[in-house]
Amino acid sequence: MEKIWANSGDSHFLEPDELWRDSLPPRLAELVPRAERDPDGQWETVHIDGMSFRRKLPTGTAKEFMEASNRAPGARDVPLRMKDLDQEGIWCEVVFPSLGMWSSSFRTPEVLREALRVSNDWAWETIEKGSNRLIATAQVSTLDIDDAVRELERVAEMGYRTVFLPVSPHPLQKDYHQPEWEPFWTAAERAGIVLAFHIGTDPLDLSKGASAGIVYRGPGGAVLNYTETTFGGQRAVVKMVASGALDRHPDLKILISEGGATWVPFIADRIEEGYRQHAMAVRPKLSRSPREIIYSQVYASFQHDQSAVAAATYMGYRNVMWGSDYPHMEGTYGHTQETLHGLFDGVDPAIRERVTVGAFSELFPGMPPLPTGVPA
Amino acid sequence: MSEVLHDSPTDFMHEMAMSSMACVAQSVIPNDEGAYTVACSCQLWETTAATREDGLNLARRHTGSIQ
Repeated sequence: MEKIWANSGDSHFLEPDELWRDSLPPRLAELVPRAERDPDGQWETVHIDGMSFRRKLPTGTAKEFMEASNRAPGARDVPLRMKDLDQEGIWCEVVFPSLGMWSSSFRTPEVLREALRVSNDWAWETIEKGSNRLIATAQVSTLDIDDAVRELERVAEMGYRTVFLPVSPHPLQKDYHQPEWEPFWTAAERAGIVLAFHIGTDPLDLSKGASAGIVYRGPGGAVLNYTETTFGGQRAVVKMVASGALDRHPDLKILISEGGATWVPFIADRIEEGYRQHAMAVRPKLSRSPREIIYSQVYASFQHDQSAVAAATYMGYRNVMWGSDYPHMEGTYGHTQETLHGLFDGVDPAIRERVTVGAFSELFPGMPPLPTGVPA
Repeated sequence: MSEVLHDSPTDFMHEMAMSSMACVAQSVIPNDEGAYTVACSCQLWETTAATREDGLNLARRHTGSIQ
């Protein structure tokens, strides 16, 4: 069977558990997330910035799920990771953090700012310098926009090409469609930084305890909760378009990772209709059509979606990008070739090249080419 | 190693929700009165504590982990 090589617009790395605690001064280290087990081994307590959350450790099916999510040998080791990628047929990757997913749980701006700075320095040394096939995503505080601008400019100077953003900012901060974010969009465009939103990162205000976030219980709960994580990425795009942020910054590119791709033509339709039919109430006016803005500045990654390739083939949306989600449970680790053949066998070679390599290379130029003699 | 810190907070909350109404998670959160509100995922138990450690011990008693 022919080996299909593909770049991934969505992968993850597990940082050392004690990265923040070992690198920050004690007064800040005390506030970053840390977990400890009860003596009975059955419960774990997570302490975050003055709050504590205790949970029963998973057993049975839940434990198997968690172990499977982090089962890949290269989840936390670059040399082992490259072996995994070669075996799976994954060439270059956008690599998201793991610890940083807890950023919305911080309450103290200084702690978040310094913790993310530590993460960025670590990821640069470990991931970016670890292989020229890996693109590390830097992290910025969405609790303090001035901090976000300063850190984005610092990491851009280091050489970072992309910054991870949660699909909504910190619960204590204004939302992305508000003018307070304008300096950040300006800084990202000026620095040529791609803003990489990852679905499932809706910030939870854990200070609200059990009522935090949208959580379904009862019949269908698992699928409802999983599907719900998709919508935040779509909302982020609507905010960036409707507020005029992408229109004012035509060189700013954004990536929505793991959320599928077929929703992009759909959401462009909805925004077009709203913009046209509610024209008397629409502010700000845009200099380009919403569809033109989205199709030229928004990229979207998927892993298994059967309809995603059709978005590129039949709907005129070319910024469709495949992603492995390595090493997560929802990803393709262990069956990447089967997935890629299922998606691309019989597909126009030009579309296959665009989705597996071309869109990625357009967003992140200068990455090493596929192994010689191996077709995309 | 910590298992929970490599979940996202969303995964963390969803996992709690999968055990509907069961005592699988408790939160100890500062409140406006200078104390801590302690609540359980069973949604039937909520109390206050003077300190975070007191709150955690109340949670442990609630789940039968200590007497």
